[in-house]
Parts: sequence; C-alpha cells; structure tokens
Amino acid sequence: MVAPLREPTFLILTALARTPLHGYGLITEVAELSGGALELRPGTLYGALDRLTDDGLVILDREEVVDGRARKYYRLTERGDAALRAETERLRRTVQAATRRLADRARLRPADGTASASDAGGRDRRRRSAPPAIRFAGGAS
Amino acid sequence: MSDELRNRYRALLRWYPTDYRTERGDEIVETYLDLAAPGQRRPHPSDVVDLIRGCVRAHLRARHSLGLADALPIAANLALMTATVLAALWLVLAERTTVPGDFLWHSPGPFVTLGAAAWIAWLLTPAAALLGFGRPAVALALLTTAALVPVATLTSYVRPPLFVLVPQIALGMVALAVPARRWSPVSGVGLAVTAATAGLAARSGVAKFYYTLLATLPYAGLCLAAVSVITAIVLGVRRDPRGWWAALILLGPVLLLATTHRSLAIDQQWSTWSLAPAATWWTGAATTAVVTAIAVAAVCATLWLRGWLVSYPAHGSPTRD
Repeated sequence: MVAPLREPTFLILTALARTPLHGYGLITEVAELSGGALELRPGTLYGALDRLTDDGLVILDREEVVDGRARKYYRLTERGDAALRAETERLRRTVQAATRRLADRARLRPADGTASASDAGGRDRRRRSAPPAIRFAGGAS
Repeated sequence: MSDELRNRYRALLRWYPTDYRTERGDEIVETYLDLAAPGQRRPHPSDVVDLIRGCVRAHLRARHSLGLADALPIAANLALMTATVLAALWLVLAERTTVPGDFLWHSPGPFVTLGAAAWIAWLLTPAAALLGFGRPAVALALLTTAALVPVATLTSYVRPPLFVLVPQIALGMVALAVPARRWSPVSGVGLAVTAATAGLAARSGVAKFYYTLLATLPYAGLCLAAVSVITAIVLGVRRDPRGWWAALILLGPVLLLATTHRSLAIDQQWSTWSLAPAATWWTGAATTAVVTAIAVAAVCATLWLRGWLVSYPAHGSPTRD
C-alpha cells in the first residue's frame, strides 16, 4: 500500500506538473495552488526538494543565469509524474465518493430537514463501508 | 543593502553540512532574497527558525536518518498522551489529599501543592491540540511545570517532588513537536484515555500524596515503552520505519519515568523536597544527568551507525563520494 502524499509534497509535484520551475517560482506557485494557505520558506522547500530528489520524483532540469543570479530549475521525473497521477486519482475517487454521499443525504432528507430512524440506520450502515475522508498525511511542515 | 542581507543569510547557513552548503547555499540565499521585502536589512525571525529546521534536516539527511525528524510528531503525540494521563492522576489523587493537622503546610486553594496549576495546564493541552493550538498549550504547560521550582522556593507553598516534575518536563519537551493540525485520531485517543484515567482515579476515591504513588511512574514508563514498540511494529508492517525512531526519541522520558523516583524518594510520606537531605538531591541530579546522557548518546550512536553503515557497506568499501 502506497502512503498518501503529504500536502506540501503533493502541491510541489502539482506545481512542477506544467513546467520546470526554480525555487522562487515553486514557492509562488504552491502559494497560488493552495489559495495562500501554504507559504513555503526556502529552508523547508529545499528540504522537501532534497527528499523528492532522493526518492526519484524530481530532478534538476537545467541551470540558468538570470540578472546575474544562477537559477536551478526542477522538473518531474516519470516516477514523479506517476506518483502525482496516482495521488490525484486517489483524491478524485475520494471526492467522488463524498459527492455521492452528500447527494444521497440531500435526497433522503425530508423537506423539513429531519430524518426518520430507518433513514438514519441506513446511512449508518453505509457509513461503515465508506472510503476514508479526504486527508493528507502529516502536517504542513 | 542587498549584499548586507545576503551576507546575513549566508552567515545563517554556516551550520549546514559543508557539502550541502557548497551545493545549495547560493540557491537558498538567492531564494530568500527573491522573497525579501524592499528595504529589508535583516532576516525575519521566522527565516531563522526555517533555516535551523532545514539545517537539522540536512544533517539528518547526510546521515540517512531523516526518519528521526519524520518521527517527531508520533513521539510528541505519545509523550503528550502520557503527560496528560499522569497530570490527571496527580491532580485527582495527589492534590486532593488531606494534610495532617500537625503539619505546617500552606495549601494553594483547594489543592495540596502548587502542582495543581501545572496539572490543569497539562489537562487542557489535548483539547487545545484538537483546536490546532497544541504547541503553544504544551509550551505553556511546560513553562508552568518548570516554574514550580522557583515559585515554591520564593513562596511558602509546597510543590510536587522532583521525581514527578523531571519526567513531566522531559515528556513536555518531546511533546513540543506535536503537529499543528487541528484534528488527529491520536489527539482524540489521548483525550479519551486521559478522561478515562481521571474518571477511574476519581471513582477509586483513594487520595494519596505523591510519595505514596511511587509505583505509578515505572508503570507509566512501561506503558509508554510498550505503546511505542507496538506502534513501531504496526508501522513497520506497513514498511514505515518512523515508529522505531519515535521509540528512540522516547527512550529518555521512559528511562526517567523508570528510574528517577528510585533515586529521589525518601522514606517519609509527607516529606517535601526542601526537607530532603542533600545527598538525596545529588543522587537524583546524578541519575537524571546519567539517564539524559544515555538517551542522547543512544540517538547520536544510532545516527553515527547509520551514516557509517551507508558509507561502509558489508564488503568494506567506502562509497562516500
């Protein structure tokens, strides 16, 4: 069983999905993808890039000198691409399942907002076989 | 100004491994400069914390021991659970005793010692962790616990014995790494176990002062060790090595729980630390120092061994490039 990706890892891989990026570009892209909820700092970002590089998910693409500053661009490897696709698919299935459950709930709920005991029992039985809720492993750091 | 800021960031990188600094140093500094506000002359304090964290991770990575950092949240949750369960026991059992009338004793309010303030602070930490404030709550409880010693010295109130406070502080230092996430099943379990312990202790109705509850500490140490090992085995089955690293981190608190009271206990049910003979104090201090040194040495030896094993594999040929 492959462990779910942590949120920063998932967002870094997502940021690199479209095009190779340098450190500053990655930080701004991750902030945009997370709606400003996750603001990586360089010490944390490069630690994460080290790990992703060790795991073979990310690789150095090229080095460029821009305004006298050397910039290193990183890109996804094939393995990183596969890991991101797998995680995206896992999240997609989870979101679909949650959407279905919410639709069931809306359909079963009477107009006055209360539910009968049998309905509640039915939902409880379904809840036991429900897939896990959306969650990322680990925290934001 | 940019050069001044660059040099300051570069100075902060000096504790990184040399190879890493050579490879990544310029890149990290330039990224900080990209993020710097116009006119900024000094690194933000949050940048210093970020670099310290990155530095520790770089050193661990160089020794192929990043699992130690990854395991901190697990160890912190287990330490927090143990600390709050002990706090519940001390508050319900030890702090509700009746002091004999022939003792000159100043009780702070309805409790026997100042320790009640610390135990209440600890009991609030699981709830704070569920709300996403675990780390500041643990820091507050830790400070309250540590402050008991000087406050008791400066006032006429009594504090809990050191054999209670020392392991609690050790647990609190590990618990400082509790994740900032709002909800986690572990926090929920910790809260439930603490509530159950407090309830069972209250129902038992046997209130005893700290010195009569000596056996609690080794049992708590044993339980923490057992839970750590079980966690390590369960995670190990899933090819996740963090559990063993967490057990290594918790070795210090476990040893303190198991040994401290043996060196500090004295044969009077109502003895307070100020009445203890100096030899007992020194024995306790020496035990704490030795146990702490053993725990730190175990972590350092593991890190060294992992680095050595990777550098010198079985056939004895160095692979370090």
